[in-house]
Amino acid sequence: MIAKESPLKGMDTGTAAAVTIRELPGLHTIDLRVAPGTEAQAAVAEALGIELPGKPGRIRAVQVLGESEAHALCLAPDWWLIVGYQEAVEKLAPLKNGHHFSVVDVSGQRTTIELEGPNAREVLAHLWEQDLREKSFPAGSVSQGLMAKAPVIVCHIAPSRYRVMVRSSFALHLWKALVDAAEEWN
Amino acid sequence: MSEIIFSFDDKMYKGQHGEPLAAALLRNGLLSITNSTYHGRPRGVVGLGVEEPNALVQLVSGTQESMLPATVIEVAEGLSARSLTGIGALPDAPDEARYDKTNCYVDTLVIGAGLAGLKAAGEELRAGREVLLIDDQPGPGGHLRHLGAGLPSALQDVLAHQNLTYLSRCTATGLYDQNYVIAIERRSDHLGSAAPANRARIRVWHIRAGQIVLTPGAFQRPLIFANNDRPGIMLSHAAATYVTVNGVRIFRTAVVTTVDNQGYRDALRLHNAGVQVQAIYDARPGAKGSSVDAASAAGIPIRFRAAVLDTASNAEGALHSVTIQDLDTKDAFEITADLLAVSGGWTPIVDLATHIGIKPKWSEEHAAFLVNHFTDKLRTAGMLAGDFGGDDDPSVFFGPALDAEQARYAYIDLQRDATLHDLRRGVGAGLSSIEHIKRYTTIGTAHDQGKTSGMLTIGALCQLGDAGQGGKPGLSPADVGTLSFRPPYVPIPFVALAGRERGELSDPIRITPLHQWHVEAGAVFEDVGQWKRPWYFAKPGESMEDAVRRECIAAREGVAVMDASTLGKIDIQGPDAAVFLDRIYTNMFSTLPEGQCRYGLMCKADGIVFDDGVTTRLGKNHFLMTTTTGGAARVLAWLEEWLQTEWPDLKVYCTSVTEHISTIALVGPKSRQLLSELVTDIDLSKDAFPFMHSRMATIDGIPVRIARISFSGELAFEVNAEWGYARYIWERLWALGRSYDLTAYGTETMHVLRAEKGYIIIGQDTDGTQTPHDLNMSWIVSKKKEFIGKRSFQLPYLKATGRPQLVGLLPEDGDEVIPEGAYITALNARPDEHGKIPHTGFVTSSYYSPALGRAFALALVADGLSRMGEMVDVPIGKKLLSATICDAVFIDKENIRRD
Repeated sequence: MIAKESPLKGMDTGTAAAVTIRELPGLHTIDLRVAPGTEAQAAVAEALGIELPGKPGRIRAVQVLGESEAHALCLAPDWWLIVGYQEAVEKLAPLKNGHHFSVVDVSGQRTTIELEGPNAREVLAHLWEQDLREKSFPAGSVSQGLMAKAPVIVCHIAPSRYRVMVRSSFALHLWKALVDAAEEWN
Repeated sequence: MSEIIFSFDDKMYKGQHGEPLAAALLRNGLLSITNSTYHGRPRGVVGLGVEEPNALVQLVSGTQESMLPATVIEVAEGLSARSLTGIGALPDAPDEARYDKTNCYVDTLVIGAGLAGLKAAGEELRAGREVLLIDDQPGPGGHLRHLGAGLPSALQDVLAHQNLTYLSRCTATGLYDQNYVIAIERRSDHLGSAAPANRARIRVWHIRAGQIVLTPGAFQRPLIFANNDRPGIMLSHAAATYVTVNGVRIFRTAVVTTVDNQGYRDALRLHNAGVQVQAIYDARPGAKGSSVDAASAAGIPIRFRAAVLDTASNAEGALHSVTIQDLDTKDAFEITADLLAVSGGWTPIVDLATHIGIKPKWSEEHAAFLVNHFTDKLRTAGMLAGDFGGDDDPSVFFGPALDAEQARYAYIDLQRDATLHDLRRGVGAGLSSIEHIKRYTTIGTAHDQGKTSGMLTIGALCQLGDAGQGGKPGLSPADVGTLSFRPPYVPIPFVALAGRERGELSDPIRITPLHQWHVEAGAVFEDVGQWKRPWYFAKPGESMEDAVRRECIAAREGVAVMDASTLGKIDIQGPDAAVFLDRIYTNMFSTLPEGQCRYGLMCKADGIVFDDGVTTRLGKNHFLMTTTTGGAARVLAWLEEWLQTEWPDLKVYCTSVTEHISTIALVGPKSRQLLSELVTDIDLSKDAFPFMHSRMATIDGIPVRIARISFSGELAFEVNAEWGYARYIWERLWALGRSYDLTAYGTETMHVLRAEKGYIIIGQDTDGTQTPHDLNMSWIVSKKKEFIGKRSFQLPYLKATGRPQLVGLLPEDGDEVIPEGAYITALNARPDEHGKIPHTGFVTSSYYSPALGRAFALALVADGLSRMGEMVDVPIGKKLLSATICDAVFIDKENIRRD
């Protein structure tokens, strides 16, 4: 099988005490749209075998057989991203005739940049206008916006660990902006 | 404190690390450090901080920043500065220091780390809130610092609290709605040459606070008298601080003029430091309080109802003597002094409060405008709220009555050299509003924005009326009102606002997965929105014309390849997807069979063409739309707008997949043969895979979707694969293509090829006023259904004659490529009655066509579709070109080549 090339292939991921910035290439991602509270949503969740977070801005870590780490991100009342679930599209295909929902493989649409370390939040704050305080954006939160003028999805995965999902065409630009923002912290 | 050497005006001086440059200059005897901007009069340090109206300097070291007050620059190793006369200069070299910004959310923001601010911070901390405390001084304490006193231990505990963040050298420059504050933190100049290179010199803070406590403090006011600008005339608080805290020993004899008890406190400090205070002249009829008693006990002569009328200078222009006037008898006498310490009352810093529209209120008792504002979100404290913390008892007095000659040298705004004389002229010219007077006299328009002069102007205006010297009598400052203050409170260098958004970080550069290949292949890039797209691939020695000609020939005669990954792509799913597309596009999509593609045109509700592209039906309820490269985001927003606001009943979801799918266009008569070497699992033949059909296939196991779509009229295939596979597929094509002389081409060749076939580019061949009919595309407008824009086609002006219509244009001289944008006039047109030659259209696209062997163009021409064969003129500068109007399709009108 031919390997996919990630948008940030070859970028140095130097480890530093304050913050480490690395690409998590090739995270399988599907975009799911379904009206909340409908039979269709229940059927989708059942077919996937996971519970979808109901509140926009929340991430649920889900257990998927054969996957080390999968997450369901609620981006809007009828909009989820499901990351790290290879078989999701396949499992939902049979439901298409009976229910109205949309499922699209968007694995290539974005890549993921992870920031980890005691100053990860401070580095993000240089480029992110939203409130990153623990009480407003605790681990398990997700939000969309512009970072360095690029459209991104920011996930607070765990304490001092953030993921920025960035459109592939913007990835190199955002990488440079993040590495630059970290300069004074490392 | 350690002693270091710094440079000022090319001379070396000793200074104490961390002290204000103003203090170091004074201690070194530099009383007069600059000349005033317009009158050329010698000037020296007046104040203590950002209110300083005189002592501007330019840094010679480091960034060479200009227009900085010597009162805020801290002496540090390696400091070099020079004096400025009002007007600074930007250095020629780019400022390479680091500047950045950050965003901060906090429960409570306290602005000002004086006693009131520290106290408020303590209260907020005790209430369990997180506090950000910012202050523009190098350390906390406010006035305590100016007294050289330490902080009480309770306030030290506040500073040490774990929920408090304290930023020194951080100035709030603007207060905006929703408790949004912008502040600038100066982070490295005070470290001098020891500052780390990666440390941002200035950080711009964007702060959103749940609550704000405003405790900005106050500036001391000067007074208006003749020749009040001489070096040696200073605000009393500044003079006493420089003498007692900074060890300035250059003053031997001082005179203090005051309207409040602050003058007494400062007189005492000067006296105790060994300066001989000749007397305190107090404009009030009498004074009470401990400071008055103490001054009296120290033997300092005190005289009431007396004020400074005029001063005289020595040979160097510095203060030599002071003329005192008895305010009742008007008798005057002279007294020598080398320091005149002026205490004209306090002006609380109302600026930030006024930024959000709070009106300061005049307090006769405080002789000041105050802001008493107490809401859940914002409150004031300290001097701004009227807590002057002492027995000041100020009187409302701005200076003695002056005659016309005295008024000429009675300065109100020292930086602008604006005088009481200027103010009187303004009032004499009939101006009464403080805002008008400000603009007439330029008072308050310098770097300091009237920090010392604003209140003097208000006071002087009131006194003029009372003295019958113009204006209305009986005015109080309450009637005049304050000047409007707007952000920023202190100047912010543009380079700090730019922050890291300079050079390659100034705007995103969007790239395709093939970008690096293009770079290595020597592509010259074109900016298309934020995308970098190859414009053309020049071989060594080739001009752009050469390269484009070669690329065009390859596409028409051999095989050529282009990266089309920038096209916008939208996945559209749902039982109503076909109905939805029928409403969005002017043409029908519900009739499109599965596995086939159709070109579509969309209009806005006004009937004007908005975007176009090919949409493929992947399944019964599943479409993949492509949009123009620049239109991707706005088309998706357009689709969502209709789905969410007008047709929520339609069961359709739209998902952007622009960067999930890469697209490679393989074009030319040999494209089928080349592709068949790579794609072996489907039949690519003309009959098995007709034009505008789409097929799933694999390339070395990679799933791809191949579509027979042509933007050139040639036989062409689009290979679509996931973004991360594009480079592999391209490299494979390139390797196999060697024997076909496969040629990579860029956007310029794409433009030539499509124009030869008469295919429009929206935004280039349209100017936002064309209907499909204007573009000779009536064939794509369905009569069988409703769609957005259809009804507008009935509007009279869209049906009127004379509308610009898209046509072809062949210049008479086939070697002459007409510049795009050129105007078109009727043949041999003569000037009309206004002496003007009316134009009849303009050129939208123009190229040299290797296939035609001549230049050609597309143009929007009035009624052009009914003017086929007509000759027109195209004036280019002094040249007049002739051209013939023709059909916009130049090549293969029969559509034979695409198969």
